[in-house]
Amino acid sequence: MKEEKSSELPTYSHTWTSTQRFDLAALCVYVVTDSSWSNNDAEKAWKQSFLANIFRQLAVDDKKEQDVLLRMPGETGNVSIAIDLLSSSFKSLNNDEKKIDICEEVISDMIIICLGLSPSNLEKVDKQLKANDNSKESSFKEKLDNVISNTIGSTDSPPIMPAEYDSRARAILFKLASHLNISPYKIRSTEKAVAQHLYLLRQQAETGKNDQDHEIQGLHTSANESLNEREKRKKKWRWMATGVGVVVGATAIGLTGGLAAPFVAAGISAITGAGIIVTAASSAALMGSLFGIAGGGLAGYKMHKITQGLKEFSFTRVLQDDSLPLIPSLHVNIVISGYLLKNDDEIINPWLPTFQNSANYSDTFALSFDKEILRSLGLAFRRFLAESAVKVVANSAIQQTVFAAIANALLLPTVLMKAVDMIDNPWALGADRAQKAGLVLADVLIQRVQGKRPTVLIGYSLGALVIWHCLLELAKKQQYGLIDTVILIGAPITSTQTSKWKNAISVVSRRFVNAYATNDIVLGLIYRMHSLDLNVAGLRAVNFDKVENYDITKFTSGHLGYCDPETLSKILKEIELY
Amino acid sequence: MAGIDGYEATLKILLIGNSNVGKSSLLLRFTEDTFLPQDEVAATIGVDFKVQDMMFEGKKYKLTIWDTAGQERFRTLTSSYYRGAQGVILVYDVSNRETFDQLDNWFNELSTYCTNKDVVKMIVGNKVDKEEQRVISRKEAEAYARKSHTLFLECSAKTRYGVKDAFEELVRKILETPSLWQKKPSPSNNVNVTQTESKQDDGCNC
Repeated sequence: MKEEKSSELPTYSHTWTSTQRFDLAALCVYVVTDSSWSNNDAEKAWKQSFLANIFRQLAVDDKKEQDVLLRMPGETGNVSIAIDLLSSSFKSLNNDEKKIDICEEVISDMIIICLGLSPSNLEKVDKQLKANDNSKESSFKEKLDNVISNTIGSTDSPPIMPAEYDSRARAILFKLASHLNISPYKIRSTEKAVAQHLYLLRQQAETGKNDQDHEIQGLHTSANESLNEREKRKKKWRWMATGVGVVVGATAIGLTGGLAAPFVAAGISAITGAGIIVTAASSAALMGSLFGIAGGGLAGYKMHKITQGLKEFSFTRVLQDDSLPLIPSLHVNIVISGYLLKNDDEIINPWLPTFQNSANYSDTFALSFDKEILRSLGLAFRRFLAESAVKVVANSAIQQTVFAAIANALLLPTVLMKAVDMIDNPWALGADRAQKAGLVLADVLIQRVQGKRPTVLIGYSLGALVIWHCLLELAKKQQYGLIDTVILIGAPITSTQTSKWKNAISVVSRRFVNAYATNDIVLGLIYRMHSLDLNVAGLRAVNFDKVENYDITKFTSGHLGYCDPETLSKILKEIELY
Repeated sequence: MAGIDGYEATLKILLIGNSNVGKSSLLLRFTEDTFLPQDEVAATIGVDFKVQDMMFEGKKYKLTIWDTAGQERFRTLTSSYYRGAQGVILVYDVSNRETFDQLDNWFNELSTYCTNKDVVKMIVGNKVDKEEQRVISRKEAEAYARKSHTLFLECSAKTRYGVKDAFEELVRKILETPSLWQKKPSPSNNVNVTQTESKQDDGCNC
């Protein structure tokens, strides 16, 4: 209302008492210690740097204090009791009317810490950059790389966190919130606020000083105005060009691979002090790489090599009204349909009702691969279900729990064999393409085309298979901290290969959901034909740690029900996406 | 000059006002014709967006409505909200004197950040369903609106009264002010490939 707020990201931790900060730090230590994914050295290193950053932001600078904190989980033994004690102490400190506020403040500050955008972190980057500013020839990116590698190498100063939203950090945030009795929706809305802030900050940094002057003056000739308008639109175009990525092809990968182009641009003005508050400028710039906008992001991604045996691999933005500003969200959803029954719209349509409601909150992209194959599979499915033999089996199946029945009848009637045969070929082809698409998807994610933000993967049928192969590839390449949540629906994946499941689960930071339906006759028969195995994730609960099983039989008529928008939205509602 | 999808123009409308005056409820009533009871609504954070089609004199317009947070702690980089807005609705609660008195502040903010001096302003008194708790008379508000050269309407998001009229009135006025929308038919994000490329060539230093 009065003055425009400082354009820095607002943080609150400096307004808390030292006890509050200490307690929050302690809680963080517990939650971080309590979380484990792959349990390897890389994870330990990440946890250390994450905690160091938290200590720095919460001003727990004293080495002794830090040691006390870090030893606590081991000493008290029972982590959950300790967490309860600490969280209640944290809450009791705020039992006045500020209580609700401080919870919001905690979440808000924690998000900023997780993003590596905390003022202390940015100041450090800026300071070091200034110190390194002698060699004008080297690019800004090189300088920044130097700074980061120098600090990580030295022992006396804690490492600089790169600006990225690690999915493990987000998982820790959700745990922290649940210990403090903060609703996960609060995290979502705070993430949204931070994302909006970053977006607007970036816009401001881009429109630059002229625009600010012009705003302060308030008066100007119409000529001036239209000039400015054009200027602004030009900037907007640039954002568009990079954000929607219409024209971006192969270069997309190169650009987003490291620290991205806008970072360089705004970073230079930060060094030369061209009028924008330093921290604001760099945080706005850092955000470029955070959201993957630099090179066009997912929508701009085109397979640059068709060497993978795939004809097609592309992303389409789900539900984006083109007249609203494209404010990116702090996480990305990638949704994958597994077959096409009627038309190609089924790549996107089934997902619409679910993501329509959360339009304000999340970027959602539909992945489409070799539609031709998916179409012929859909056709085969339909013909298969039209076979009278299948109808009989399906009916009896529903009456007496299919799979016991089919499993017992080891020898399928010949007519049924014939029917299954019909699907055999398209299915084999589809499974092959799904695997290939999974490998490409893993590459895309590793190259951070989606931005440096957590990714949620949701897929049904072959879509789930794509995700599965993607996860296995990520595990093979030791890529942790990319995937936030995975939701497999009607997954044609065997549930007995323990080591594969363990690997797949290790790259998922927060939730791993298996949604299965016991009436899925298609999956039952095909899978049985192909693998002589009825332990399929899409048919029954999977018993591994961290896997959440949802029986969705009541929502769907079977395998082909998943592509119905209403069914899918009911399923995802049951699973509760945040 | 109807563009793609048959839209005559895309108009940006901003909702501002103190917290808890019912900005989001007005919008919800207008776009989805529903109303949520007090305990089911959460304070808006940052800004929410809604898109609504509106037919006006046989032509179709697309309204992009920015519903901003009233609570100051949730408002960030306010100036960005006003950029390119053609209409601004200032909302107050007829049963709360403070929300009316603060309209001055909102006008200040508006004149500070709004780059277009022709922007159409409208004062809306919400919650007229609470007739017995009313503390701002229609007369008083009307006088204030006249003084500040703005449109004025009373309405109730709860009972529907006046909600549609408010938006229609605002759109009518915007369309009567050609300088607001004729120069740039659509501030849309549609990207034309060739244009993008040429725009990128000049002045892009990244």
